[in-house]
Amino acid sequence: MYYASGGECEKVEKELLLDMKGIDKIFPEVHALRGVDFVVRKGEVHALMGENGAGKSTLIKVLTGIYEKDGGSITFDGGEISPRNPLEAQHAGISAIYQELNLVPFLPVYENIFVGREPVTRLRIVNREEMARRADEVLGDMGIRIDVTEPLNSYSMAIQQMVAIARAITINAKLVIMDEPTSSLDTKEVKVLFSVVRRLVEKGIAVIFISHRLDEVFEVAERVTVLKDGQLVGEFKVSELDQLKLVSHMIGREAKDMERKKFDYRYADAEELAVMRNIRQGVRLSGIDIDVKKGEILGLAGLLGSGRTELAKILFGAEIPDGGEILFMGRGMRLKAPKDAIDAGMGFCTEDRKIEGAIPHLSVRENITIAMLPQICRFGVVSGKKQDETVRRFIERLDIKTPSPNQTMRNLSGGNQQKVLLSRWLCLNPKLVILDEPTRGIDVGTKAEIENLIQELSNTGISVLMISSEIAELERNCDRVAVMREGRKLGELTGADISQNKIMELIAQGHRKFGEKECA
Amino acid sequence: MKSIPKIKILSGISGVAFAFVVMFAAASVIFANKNFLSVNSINNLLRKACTDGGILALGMTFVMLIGYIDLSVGSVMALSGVLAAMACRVNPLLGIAVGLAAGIACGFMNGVIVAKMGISPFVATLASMLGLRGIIYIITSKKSVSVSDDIFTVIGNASVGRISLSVFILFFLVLLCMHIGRNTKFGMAIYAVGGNEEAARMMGLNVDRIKISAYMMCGLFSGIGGVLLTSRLSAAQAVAGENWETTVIACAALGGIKLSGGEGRFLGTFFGMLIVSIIKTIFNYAGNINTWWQNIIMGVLLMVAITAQSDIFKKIGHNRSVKALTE
Amino acid sequence: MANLSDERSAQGKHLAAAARKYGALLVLIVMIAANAAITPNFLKAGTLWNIIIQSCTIILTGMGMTMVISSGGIDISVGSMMAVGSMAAAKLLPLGLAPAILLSLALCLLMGAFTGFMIAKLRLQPMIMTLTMMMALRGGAQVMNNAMLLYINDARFAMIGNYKISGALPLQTFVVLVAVLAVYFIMEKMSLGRYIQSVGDNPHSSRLAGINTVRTIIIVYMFSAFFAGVTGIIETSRLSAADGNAIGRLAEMDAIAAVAVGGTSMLGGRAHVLGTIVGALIMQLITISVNMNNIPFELAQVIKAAVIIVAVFLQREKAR
Repeated sequence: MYYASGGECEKVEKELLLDMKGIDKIFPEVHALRGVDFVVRKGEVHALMGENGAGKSTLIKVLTGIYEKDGGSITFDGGEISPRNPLEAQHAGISAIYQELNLVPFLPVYENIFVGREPVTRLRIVNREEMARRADEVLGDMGIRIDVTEPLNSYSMAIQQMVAIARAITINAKLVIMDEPTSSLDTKEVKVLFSVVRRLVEKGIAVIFISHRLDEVFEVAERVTVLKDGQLVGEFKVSELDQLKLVSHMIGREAKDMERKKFDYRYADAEELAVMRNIRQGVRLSGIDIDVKKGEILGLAGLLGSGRTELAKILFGAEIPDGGEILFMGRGMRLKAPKDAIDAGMGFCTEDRKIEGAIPHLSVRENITIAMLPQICRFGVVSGKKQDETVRRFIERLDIKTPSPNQTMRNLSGGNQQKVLLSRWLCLNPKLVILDEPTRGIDVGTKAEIENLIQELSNTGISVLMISSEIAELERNCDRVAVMREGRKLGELTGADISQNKIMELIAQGHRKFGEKECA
Repeated sequence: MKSIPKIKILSGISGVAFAFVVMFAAASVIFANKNFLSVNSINNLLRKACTDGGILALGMTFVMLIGYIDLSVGSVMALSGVLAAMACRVNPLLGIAVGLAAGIACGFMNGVIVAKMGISPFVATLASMLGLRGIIYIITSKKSVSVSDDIFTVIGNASVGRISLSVFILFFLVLLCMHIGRNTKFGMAIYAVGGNEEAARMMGLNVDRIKISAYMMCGLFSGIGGVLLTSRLSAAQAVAGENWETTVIACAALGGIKLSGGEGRFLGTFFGMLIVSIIKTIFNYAGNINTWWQNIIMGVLLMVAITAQSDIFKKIGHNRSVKALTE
Repeated sequence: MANLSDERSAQGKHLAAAARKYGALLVLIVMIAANAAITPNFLKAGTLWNIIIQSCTIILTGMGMTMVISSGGIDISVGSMMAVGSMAAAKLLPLGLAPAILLSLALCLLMGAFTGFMIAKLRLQPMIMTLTMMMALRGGAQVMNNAMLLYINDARFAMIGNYKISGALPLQTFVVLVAVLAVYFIMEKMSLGRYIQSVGDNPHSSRLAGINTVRTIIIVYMFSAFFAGVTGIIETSRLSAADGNAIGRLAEMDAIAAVAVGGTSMLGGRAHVLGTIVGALIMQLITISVNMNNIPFELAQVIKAAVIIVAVFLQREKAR
């Protein structure tokens, strides 16, 4: 363990806004924060980094009054505070925008901005005109012109995010916390977000920026504080770091660039396992051709909104396409439900484990075997022996850390939940596994394990269709990468041709190509 | 920007309103010879809507808007009525006060059990439905409590011109609810909690207090209902309001109030109760049809109504493009 | 210092966990103990036997309700479904005993399938959908005999609810026993049970894991309707009369209370089949002990309400 001295910066600095000293937080099972110091200066963008479980969100929740701290002190804007709920934090001038946007979908935009502190007329009637006017004004300041009287859910995620920020601004926040604000935005939207962040900074508002995406941290933040295992690693100036150094601080050891596993493309003549032809669905997919060969790892690259997940869901029968043809092992398929795809030999690890993967209150055992039940049943009766045997085998093989197979799913860490979900499909001996963001929100160690497992699958002849927003991950693992943008396939790269630069180039070219079309 | 926020009077509830108008028109044609279209029969229609659970439905709407439910409205109404009748022997105004206070107190209890103890609203209010009814039986020995006070009984029976006082009360309460829902901080908070509880909490709303307040409103309206019914009948019955909770929920559901919370409007509930009331009236007029067909028809109608409101028939909300962002 | 508090909090946690797991059983034991001390003649076999026999109705409807609630729904049409089963069987009795029973149960199954279809396929809220069924079915049961009592003069039919195997064991306890074992087996040993609990816990994940969620939900409501029908027939046989107005009134509330007290989460997920039995026994025990102590019957309702709240409170899960 070491405390970096890199954080000792020159003293001719902006004034301190927030000074958290020696923060302690103890949960029944874990000591989540141990004497963490965290300092934010006025008008700066400060990134808070760390692996999952490092204590970032706990620290934020202490700051915003959701958790009560067990030790330490918080000085904000010159006075000591200890908020007991989000409202008190807001009154002090601290406002947070969370990953799962905390807004009310049915309410109009302006109400979302003002709920809880509506302006009222002399008769104590809420003043809607005033609210709408001010909502227009504050959004306009951010460069966004929308009809604020429409319900929030009629706008895209990006706009909803801006509304959340507008809400923070209107309560005269001095410090805005953004927890993974870019996770559901595409590049264009991220740019807008960053320009809004810069406007905030110009006004002297400080921003705490939490993101898994290193690039974004380097683009927008001035300083970064790194946590690990509930302790402070150090505070650094971004200009004095590079990505490799930052990663090594986060995982606490020298980060070797993870090895690239594939160079030669060996599947040129392999038989085609799954073929999708001219798949169309609304505005999201406009005629896509994809084929997965036996045993290969096919990556789907593209930005969010490019239609990758939709394509995967169609292949798995979870969504019905408007048109197109799907062949699996040479036979035409009419997939009406995931069950059809599973029966054909597919498995699908979804992007959102919480909503579309885990069955939280059932045990690890049931979670592993739920898709397998038809195979280990006789007359609808589950064979406990076969079930236990399978569960034991996969807990061992994937090294799932659980006290027992009877542990409820939701008590497992994110990485272990992902392993359970992988086991759910692997125990079916599938021919094709679809992995949508398989390493999102998973710590670096488990990430490597999962990547190794993906290679192992491919070596045993199982095809993998892998979707990832981390281009480096695709570069490391895939035999072939198909690049998508706005519902179209732009091109493919194989073997040694796969590189971050080339993928980016393809996407950028596509931008130009389709950009022209839009103008016409 | 021309964004002056206006809520159209019938937005979202035009279907219910239309259904009511159609039924009303049909009834006035069919029963033209029986004077359906007269001040008297319309007054009766509204008075029935008022005393047969309409007021309770307004209260229920508060609770349903936060995404919860209250099965105890019938029992609360009966308890309020009984206590009001008893207090009436001292003073009629005291009777009214006691009735309303009892309703609010019951609502408060429900709210605390649900919000603070974290017990499922269905189970919690089921328990209070049973428990409160038991208490009523114990107080009254299952007998009705008669009221002889003229001032008290006048509320439910007096008329202004040819319109009953209770109809005026109903209109007043509907307008009051619409005002609360549309123009007050409490109203906005209710919609926020029902739309996304977690968000409401993060926005700094005191969610527990809002939930408890919603239950208290529901209790208050049940109390008003109890006082009115007692006044009208000049007696408080121990069995009053038994099995009413389903009709009350049906009124609100017909009016487009979603059980999942955050959606629906008080005016919708008003039309919902009018529809229930007009069905009953039509049966009265038809005379020769057995009343138990009412149940079937009401069930089927409710099914049609909620099926029509179901999400799968709605167009998927189109996301306004990112263009707004790029300007 | 820190250790001590750790230990204490760990102990507290164990206690809380135990209370959550065995809360209902705890309440039942406390009540039995209290009764043993207070109520005269309570510990005689006859009394205990009575409790079990009299809670048959709640247990039977509670079995279906456990499945429904575990699947994330609720069924408040149970009472009306009982009335439909009862009236249909009574009306069809001239066709013979077996056809009458089978046809009326088939009718209930059909109605249950319809309910399930509307909920699963058209995504109507279970509470509201079963509310409409509650109204419509009650009306239907009344219409069948113009809301009048239908007396039954059929010795064999009367046996269903009154016959005692070797003079002691009522036939209906046997039916209940079979139902409990069947439901327990389904929920714990069969894939269907896992599908039900999985759908109740997380419908999205379940569909993506290859479960036919629509079919699962339809089946669940069919089970509930079936058990309600059986209960209705037994009740009718016991009374030797079918009453479309009265049979099954509030039966759904008793069943839901038993399930909730038994520890099944109202939000769906893990089913506690045996817990439902404990819940039903608690409800019945209150009624009987109040009776035996000459306390006014009305008080039983108040006590029930309190016990429901306490038992559910003990077993609540904080995170939900």
